[in-house]
Amino acid sequence: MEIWENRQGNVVILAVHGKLDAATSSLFEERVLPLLEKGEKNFLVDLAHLDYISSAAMRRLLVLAKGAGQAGGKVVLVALQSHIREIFDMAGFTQMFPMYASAEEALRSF
Amino acid sequence: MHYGIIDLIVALIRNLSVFMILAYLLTRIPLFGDVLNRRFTAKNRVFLALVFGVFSIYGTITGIELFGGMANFRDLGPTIAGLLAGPVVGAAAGLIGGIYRYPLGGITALPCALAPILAGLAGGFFFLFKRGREIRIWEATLLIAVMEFIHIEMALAISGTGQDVVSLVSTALIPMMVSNSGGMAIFIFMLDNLARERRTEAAKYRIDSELRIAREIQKTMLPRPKSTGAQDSGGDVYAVMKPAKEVGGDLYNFFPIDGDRLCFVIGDVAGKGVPASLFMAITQKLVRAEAREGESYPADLVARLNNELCEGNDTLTFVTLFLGFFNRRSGEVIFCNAGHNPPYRVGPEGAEMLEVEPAMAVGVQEGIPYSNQSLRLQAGETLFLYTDGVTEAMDAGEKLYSDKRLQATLSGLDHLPSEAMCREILADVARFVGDNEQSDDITMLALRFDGELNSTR
Repeated sequence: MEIWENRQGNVVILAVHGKLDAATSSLFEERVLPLLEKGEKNFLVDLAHLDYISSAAMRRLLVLAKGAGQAGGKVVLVALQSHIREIFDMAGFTQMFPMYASAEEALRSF
Repeated sequence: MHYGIIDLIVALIRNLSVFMILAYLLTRIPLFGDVLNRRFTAKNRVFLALVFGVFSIYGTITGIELFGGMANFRDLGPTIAGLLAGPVVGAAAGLIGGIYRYPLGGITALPCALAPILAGLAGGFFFLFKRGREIRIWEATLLIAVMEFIHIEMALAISGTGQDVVSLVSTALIPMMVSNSGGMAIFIFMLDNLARERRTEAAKYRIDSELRIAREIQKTMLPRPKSTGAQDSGGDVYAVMKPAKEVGGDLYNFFPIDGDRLCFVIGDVAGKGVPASLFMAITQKLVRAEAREGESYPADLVARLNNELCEGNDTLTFVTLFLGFFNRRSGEVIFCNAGHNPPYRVGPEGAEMLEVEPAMAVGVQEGIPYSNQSLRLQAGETLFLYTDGVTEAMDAGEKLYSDKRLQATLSGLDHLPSEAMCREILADVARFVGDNEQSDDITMLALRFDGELNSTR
């Protein structure tokens, strides 16, 4: 798992590559929570290169979304592969995250 | 024989290697554990003094002769003995080395016999000074280097400043400092590693035992994997969980809510380990506590569970649930799916994945609505529920068992009672996985309906 961090205006862009499983999702949390603490509140998470997501990782995305929401921002997900999208659909979390096909489109939503 | 400085260092290092191997073996024996924990007894003090005394003798034997004197690591063993167990043990080891050295004679006999005793004392006083705090590599290395310097100075002071003594000493000083310091650095490094290893092991042992206990508690919260109801009605239920090595968060339950109907549930808490098992335990208890006798709709129960679990759930740990009421007399199943894998309906025509309305897993958002769905099992049909531990079971090549294989396997099993069906799937998953370690709980629950019972039963 690798996270590429970028920024566009006041939006933090996180591109997650590889697998978010039980082990790597805690790395994701360690990387992302400090951003929240620093006062970031708008996150664009690019999942185009995410191959697997575990329930533990979804929980961490929910925590990020909750924190961002409380700070007056939000988390949007971009470019989910269809099997990843299915996992979100099945757990019923699609409604918790605005989802976009492309980063350009997602950035306009902030 | 004449040695240049380089040859001398090479020879000393070679001799030192043997010493290091012996030292390594020493650190692996149980008695050494007591020494590291500073649990000293007469027995282990004598043992250390003897062993490091012999190391000192070995340092003398393998010393390289230089104009009647020896360049060697005689002082190393006693210094280490002192660092490990105090001045008495250090001096005793030094005495052994010194007694061996003195009769060998040579112009530096006396200083060379005294130096190991002094080194042992110095190591011992440093041990007292540190009072159990970890000895750093550089401290011990500096200590032995200083001791070698003193050794040489002592040789000059006692044996005079004749040409041969000065020559011996000036050739031996650098190799002795380098090889003894090197030996000391390696030894302390080994000790550090050992101490770290022991700490890690102790922590791991504690965590392992806590996980084992968590797993035991978790097991006691699940109904025993037995069939129920086959004798007195037209339906039977069987559920089983095969826990992963690391405790997970799967759950299942079934219990009657009135004369004909059973409440059944299967669920999977996000994540693994103790946090997941705690959440599993809460959920498991809540299902039972919140279920009301004669209740009509599972969605109402799920909504109550959701609200309860959401309360104060800051970590947003969630649990996917498939919960339903099964009428064993009529085969009717009313169910509510909260983010769980859709079950399979298994019949003579094969296994088919149930169409479920998407709804959120419980524990995340309070007050969200859940809906009921229903179906009527025909005689000979089974509803097969499972957690992703089944479909995501991995073989050695990291291939997943998959929905597809589950569906294909179930398709031939419609004739089996619920227990046998679960056993067949468990066996097929085990065949697929081979020797690969199970990474997640594997849980399944099967409801079988054998036909409507007539009232004249």
